[in-house]
Amino acid sequence: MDQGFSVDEIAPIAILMDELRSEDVQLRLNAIHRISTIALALGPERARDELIPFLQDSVDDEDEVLLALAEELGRNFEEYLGGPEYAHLLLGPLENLSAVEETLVRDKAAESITKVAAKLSQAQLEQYYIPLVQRLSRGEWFTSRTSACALYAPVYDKVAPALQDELRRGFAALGSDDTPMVRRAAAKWLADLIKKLSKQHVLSDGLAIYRRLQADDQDSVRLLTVPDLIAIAQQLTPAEVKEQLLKQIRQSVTDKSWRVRYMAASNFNELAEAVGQELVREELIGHYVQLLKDNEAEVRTAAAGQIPGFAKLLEKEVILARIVPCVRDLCQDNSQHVRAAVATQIAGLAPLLGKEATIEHLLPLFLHLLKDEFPDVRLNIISKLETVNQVIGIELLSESLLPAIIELAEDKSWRVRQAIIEYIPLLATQLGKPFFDEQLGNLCMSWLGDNVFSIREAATVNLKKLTEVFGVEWAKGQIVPKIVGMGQHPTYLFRMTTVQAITTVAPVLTIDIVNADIIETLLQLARDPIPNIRFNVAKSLEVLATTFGNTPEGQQMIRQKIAPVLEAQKTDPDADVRFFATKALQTVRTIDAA
Amino acid sequence: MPSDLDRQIYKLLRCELITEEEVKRLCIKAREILIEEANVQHVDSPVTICGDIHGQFWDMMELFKVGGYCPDTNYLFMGDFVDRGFYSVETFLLLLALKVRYPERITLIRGNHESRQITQVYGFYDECQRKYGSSNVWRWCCEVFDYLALGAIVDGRVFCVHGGLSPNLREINQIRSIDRKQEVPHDGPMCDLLWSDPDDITGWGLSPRGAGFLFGSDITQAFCHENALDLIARAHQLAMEGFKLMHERRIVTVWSAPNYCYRCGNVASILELDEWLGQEYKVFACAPSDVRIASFYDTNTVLWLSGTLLSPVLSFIQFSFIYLVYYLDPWMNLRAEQSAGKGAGLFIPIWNSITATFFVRAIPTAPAGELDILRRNDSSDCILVNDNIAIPVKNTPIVCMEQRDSLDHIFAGVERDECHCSTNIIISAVC
Repeated sequence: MDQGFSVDEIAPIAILMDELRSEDVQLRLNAIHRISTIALALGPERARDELIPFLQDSVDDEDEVLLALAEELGRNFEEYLGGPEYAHLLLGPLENLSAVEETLVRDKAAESITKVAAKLSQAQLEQYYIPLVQRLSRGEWFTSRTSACALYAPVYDKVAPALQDELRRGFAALGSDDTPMVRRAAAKWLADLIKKLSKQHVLSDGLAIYRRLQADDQDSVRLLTVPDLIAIAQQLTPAEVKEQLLKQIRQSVTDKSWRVRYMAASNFNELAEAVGQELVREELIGHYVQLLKDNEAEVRTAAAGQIPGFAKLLEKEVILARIVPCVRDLCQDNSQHVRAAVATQIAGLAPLLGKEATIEHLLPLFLHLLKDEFPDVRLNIISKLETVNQVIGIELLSESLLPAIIELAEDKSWRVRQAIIEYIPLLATQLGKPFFDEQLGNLCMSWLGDNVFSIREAATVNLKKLTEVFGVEWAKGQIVPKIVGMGQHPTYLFRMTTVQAITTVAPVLTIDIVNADIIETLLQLARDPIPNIRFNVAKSLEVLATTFGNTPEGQQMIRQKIAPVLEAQKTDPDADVRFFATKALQTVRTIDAA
Repeated sequence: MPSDLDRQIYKLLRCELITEEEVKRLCIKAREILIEEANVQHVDSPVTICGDIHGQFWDMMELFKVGGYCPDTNYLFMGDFVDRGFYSVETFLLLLALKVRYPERITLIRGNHESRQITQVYGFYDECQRKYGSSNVWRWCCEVFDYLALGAIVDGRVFCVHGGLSPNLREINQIRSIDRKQEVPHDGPMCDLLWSDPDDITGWGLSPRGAGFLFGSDITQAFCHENALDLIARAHQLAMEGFKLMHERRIVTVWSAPNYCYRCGNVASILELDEWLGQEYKVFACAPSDVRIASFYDTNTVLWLSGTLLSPVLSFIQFSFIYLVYYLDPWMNLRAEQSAGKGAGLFIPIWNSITATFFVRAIPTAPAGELDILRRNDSSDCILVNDNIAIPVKNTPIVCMEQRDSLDHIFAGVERDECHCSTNIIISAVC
C-alpha cells in the first residue's frame, strides 16, 4: 500500500469496499446509498481516480444493489467528481449497468444516463456519449440494444448535424431489430425522438421507422406505436397527415389485436387533436363510433372515457347524430365497467349539447344510470350532477332527478345511502331553504334512525353541515327538536344517536340554543341506565365545555350544570363512565382555570 | 395524552402491526383480565353478538361500520377470530387490545380455532411466523386462548357459545365446573361446546366433523327450558344469509365473515340485542374491493394475472415485474404507487379455452426453494395456495392491457429462452 496515504484518507474507500463485499445484501445496499457521502469524503480527485473505477468493476451483484447504484449515480453525482466537466466519467459504470439482465436496473441506468447527458457539453457528448450510444446499439445481447433506444432523443438536438444523421440511422436500425424486445423499446422511445426531429427528417426518416414498427407482426410492438403516431401527426399539417398517415391511422384503430385498439381508444382525443378538424369529421368520427361499439369491453371502456373530450371537437348536430346513439347503447352495456365509465363521462356532454338537447337526450339516460344495479355506476352519475345542474338549472334537475335521489336515499346498500348523504349539503345550497325543507328535510332526519351506524354518523355530520348552510335559527327550528325528541326513545340506540348528534352539531350552534334546548336533555341522559350512553354524555359535555368555555355564559353553564354532573359520574359503578367523566373533568378544569 | 394501549389500538385499527414486545405485554395483561372471567361469563344487554371472523380484518372493519365502534357499542365475539383469512394476527390483536382497554365493553369467547393444533394447520401459525419472523407471538396468543371463556350468558336469558351443546351438560351451571385453562381436548364437554352443531334430527347424532355432536330440536328445547333461556346464539357454521334460525327459533347461527375465505359469496350478520333483549340481525357484505386491494397487497404472497394463452405452456418461470399497488392513505383516498418485485411460479392454465387465467405466487425475497406449488382445487372454480388461501377464478376483473402484455411476453420469452421481463401488473380485487 502507498505509504503516502494516512489511515484517515484510506478509511472511506476501504470501508465502502468492505461493506460492498459483505455477505449481507442489506449492508451492501446501505453502502450504495451512502456512496455520495463517501465520494465527498474522498474529495473530487480520488473519487474520480479510485471510486469510479471501483464502481465500474462492481456490476456483479444482486439486482437490488445495482438498481440502487444506478439511481445514486443519476443524482447529480458529478458534483462529487469536480463538476460537469467530469460528468462523462459517470457514463462508464452506467454503461455497464445498462447492459445487465435485469430490466429494472437497465431502465434506471438509462434514466440516469439521460440525467448525466443534460450536464454534458457538446464536446463531451460527441467524444463520450455518442460512442457509448453506438456501442450499446451494436451490443451483441439484446439488453444493451434495448437500453440504447432510450438514449437517442435526449441528446439529438445537442450534437452537430453530421452526428444527427448517424443517430437517425442508428435508431432506424434498432427499429428493425430482430428481437421484439428491442423493437418494443424503439417504439416506446420513437415519439420522444420525433419531437426533436426537423419536419424534413420526420418525413424522410421518422415516418419510415414508424411505418415499419406499426406493421410489426407482434401486437405488443404495434400498440406502442400509437403515441408515435400522435407525435408525428403533431409535427405535420393536416394535409400531410392525410397523405402520409391515413393508412396507419386506419390500421391502428381497426387492428385485429384488441390491445392495439385499446391503446388507440385510450389516446383518441390526443390523436384527434393532432390530425385536425377535417380529418376528424371525414375519418375519425366513424372509427370512434366503431371503438364505442367494439367487441371487447376494455376497448369500449377506454373509448367511453374519451367521450366529452372527443365531442368537443364536433358540432352539436354531429354529436346528436353519431355520439349520442352510441352513448345510449353504452348505458345498456353488459359490462358494468363500461357503464361506470359512461356514467363518469356522460355529464360532460351536457355543456356541449345545451339545455334543450340535454333535457331531451341525456336526462333519460341519467335516470336510467341512476337505477343501475351496480353501485359504482350510480355513484359516478351522482358525483357529476353539478355539471348538469349548470346547464339545465336546479329546478328541472331536482324535478326529474329528485325522485331518483330519494329512491337511492333508501337504497339497500348503505354505501349508496352514504354517498347520497354526502351529496346533500351541496344539493341544499342549490335548492334553497324552503324547497329543501319540503323535499329533503324528513329524509335527513330519517337517516338518524338508520340501522347502520356509519349512516347514523354521516347523518349527524350532515346536520352540522346543513346548519352551516342554513344558519342556527333554521337549526333551532328544524333540527334541534327532533334530535332532542329522540332522547326519550325507549331503545338505547336512538338515545345514543341523540347524544352523538349533540356532540357533533353543538359546536356550530349558539350558547343560547344549547342552554335553552339541549343541555337539560343531556344532563338527563347522564343518568341513563345504559353505561354506554352515560360515558358518551361525558364526552359530549367535554365538547360543550371546550366550545363555549371562553364566554361568560359558557363558564356559568360549566360551573352550574356540566361540572356537577361530571363530578357525580366520577363515582359511577361503571369503570368506563368513571374514566370518561374524569377525563372530561380535567379538560373542564383547565378551561375554567384559563 | 393517549396511553400506549390507545396508540396500539389506533395502529391496529389501521391494520398495522404492533411490536413483538407490545404483543407480549398485551397478552400478559389480557390473561390477567381473562383469568377473572367465569367459564360462562355474565354479560349485560345491550350487546352486539358476532360470529366467526377468521382473520378477515377489513370485513371486521365493515362489521364495526355497521354496528358501531367499541366502546360505544358493546360486543360479544363468539370465537374463531383467527385462521383462513389474511389478517389473523391483526384481527386477534385488535380484539385483544380492545378487551384489555375496555374489559366491560367487549367479551371474547373461545372457538374451535383458538387452539394450538388447529392454528398450525389453518394459517395463524404461519402468519405469525411470516409477520414476526418467529413463533413467539403465536405461542403467547395460544396461551391467551387457554384463558378465554367457553360461553357467555346475556341477562341470564341468551346463552352464547361457539359450537353448541353437549350430551354431558344439562345445565349451564355444570359448565362452571370445567377446568377450561388448557388446550381444547379431543372429546368431553369442553370440546363439545366448541365443536357441536344443531341439526334437523331428534336427539344426539355423530358429527361429521369428528369432534362434538349433532343435536336436534328436542335437545335445544330441553336445554332452553331447563336453563330458562330465550335463545341460544352460536357461530361455527357458514350461513349464506348471514344468520340462520333453527329449532323453532330457539337457536341461531350468527356468521360474521362475509365472502368467507374470499370466495364463498355469502353475506354476514351481527345480532344486536337491545336493552329489552329485542333481536335485530344486521346483515352486511364484504368490504369493497378498493379496501381489499390494499389489504391484499400487504400479504405480499399472491398476485394473479389474467391473459391470453398463446400455447399451453405449463412451466416454472422466474420473472421480475413492476406493479401498481393501490392503497388507501390515512384519509381514505385511493392512491397508486409503482413498486417492483420478483416472482416465480407455476403457470397453470385453468380453462382449456383460448382465454386462461394464471396465478403467480410472487415472493419478493424468498429463495426459490420456499415457493409453494399452486394446486388446482377439485371444484375447479378456484385454486388453493397452501390449502388456506383460495382464489376465485370466476368474476376475474378487467385486467389492464400491460398485464396481458406481460403474459404474452412471458410466453414469447419462453420461445426465446428468455424469462426476464418487465411489466405492469394491476393487482386485481379478490372478490
